[in-house]
Amino acid sequence: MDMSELDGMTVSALCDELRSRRLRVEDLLQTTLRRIAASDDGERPLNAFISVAGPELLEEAARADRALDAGDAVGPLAGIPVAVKDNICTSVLPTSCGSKILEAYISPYEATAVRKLRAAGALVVGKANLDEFAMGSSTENSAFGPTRNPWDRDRVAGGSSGGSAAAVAANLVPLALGSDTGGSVRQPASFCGVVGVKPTYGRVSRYGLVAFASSLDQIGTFARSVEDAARLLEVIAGMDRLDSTSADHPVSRLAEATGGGIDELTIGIPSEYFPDALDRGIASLCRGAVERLETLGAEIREISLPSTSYAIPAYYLVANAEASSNLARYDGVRYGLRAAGSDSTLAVYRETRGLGFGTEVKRRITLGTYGLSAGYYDEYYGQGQRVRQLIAADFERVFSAGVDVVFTPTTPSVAFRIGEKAEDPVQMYLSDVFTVTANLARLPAASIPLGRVEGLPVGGQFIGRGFAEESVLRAARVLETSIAENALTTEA
Amino acid sequence: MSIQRSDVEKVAGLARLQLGREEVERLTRDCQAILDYFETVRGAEADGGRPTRVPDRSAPLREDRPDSEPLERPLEQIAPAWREGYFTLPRLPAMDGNDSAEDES
Repeated sequence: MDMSELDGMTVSALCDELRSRRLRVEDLLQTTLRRIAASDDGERPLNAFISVAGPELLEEAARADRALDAGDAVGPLAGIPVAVKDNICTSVLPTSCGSKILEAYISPYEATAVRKLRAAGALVVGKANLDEFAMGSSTENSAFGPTRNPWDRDRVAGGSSGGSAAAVAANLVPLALGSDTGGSVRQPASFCGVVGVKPTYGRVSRYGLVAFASSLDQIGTFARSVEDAARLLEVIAGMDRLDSTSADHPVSRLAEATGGGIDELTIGIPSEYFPDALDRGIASLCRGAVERLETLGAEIREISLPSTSYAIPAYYLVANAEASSNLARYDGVRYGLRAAGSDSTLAVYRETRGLGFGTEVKRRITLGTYGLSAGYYDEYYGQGQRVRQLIAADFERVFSAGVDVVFTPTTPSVAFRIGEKAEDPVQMYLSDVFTVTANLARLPAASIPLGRVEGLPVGGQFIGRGFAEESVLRAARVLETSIAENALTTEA
Repeated sequence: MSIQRSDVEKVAGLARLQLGREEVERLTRDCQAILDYFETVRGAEADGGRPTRVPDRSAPLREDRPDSEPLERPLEQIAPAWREGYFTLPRLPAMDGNDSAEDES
């Protein structure tokens, strides 16, 4: 088949092509690897990947082709190329976390999500770029250079999972894994015009996800459609004895479950997420989406989540404290970089960490250590945790009152220019203002493309009850279908 | 809350983080701006929103028996320095009363 036909093809269509043998896994993989290489040509490389698979993957592809030729039973993602964020451990490709401190690190074990992906037949084609240790909202904090936005290469792809989002948006891969601690899947999905899903905390095992803020981190999925994102989530979800925070909660057939309507759903619209200062283009697209959801049968209800304005400081107080503790392990002793010539154990620690970590990571370790130090613990970390409970209580109250799903903009702006916010950390933190609440309250959420403002993608976010991914994905898919149909009508 | 250079230097010491002079200055400035912004969080309880309960789930316990996941490659392949089955480091200060000994042990 003509490989240009692959652009925009859904995973189920790709699977059909592979199973009918009109498309061979080896050809699909070779095309993917060529496209990844070509995306880095020129003065403004996309830089979506930190490392890309070598010949060993071609052998895997050949094995998949032989199985498909023989008509053997294969996994649900057999032969599908997938990008994996470079803070999720793979045992063949390196896992750098976008940091010099782990530049040459190859994990001696594989993350559960990656093991499940490979068991489903997927091909891990490369490790996607990210902000160092997933700390950032633009992928500018990567030690390996920023990922550029496929829609405008002078702009950021968002972050921290910017490489995963850009790889899907640029048609390099149909699926990618990311991680979302405060919006790191949904915000880049919004900036790059793709679907991004952050499941409920505990839905996907964190075993092998390099820890940033353990009470907030969750692996999520990127795709070009809600159905594909659901299909990928279905593969990686489930309890894992290697992660005691993974939940013993049944995993339904999410891709199928997204097929229903929304006439029985009540969708809450929180006033705090539509401030007067919200970008007018984004506000207009979101209002259009709300009208569309109502027309499609949902009950729309104006709601209030009054603690929202405290979410960003609460999030950073908690996340930085957990990060400072989690990143204590990078000391040059057991793996990763060790500063050369250090003459004492303490010097090994100090010099390795001083040399290996970038500016944002040092900033967060400093703030987190400060917030956990004697005399400040209750004032900072304790306060953050108390406000976190208020934010969770806001959501519980609206869900108890009959709201099934909350709808908001994903981000307060479209993708900003590279370097625009690099010198102002508070402004950078505020780009997560609509996404951190779902992490603080441990709820599932998804961002889908609503349209474009001045040529740049805008995302809308659905947030649901804990473990109610089905409702979130169903609402998202119904809206996605309606927007696509409208675009076709407009074009016609 | 006012942050001084000495606060950043003290915290960097606790975090075992070597910082250059310019880094200390920049971090002092940035941390001040960020902590000033974080002050807004104090309004939450002033609004009367003291949480009444803590709904966090506790982590389930595994059966208490020895278990391990086999590694796909031996630790010496990822260790910065390794000898005879051990990670090696310059001598610990506690072993000789100072932190400048050079022997690997």
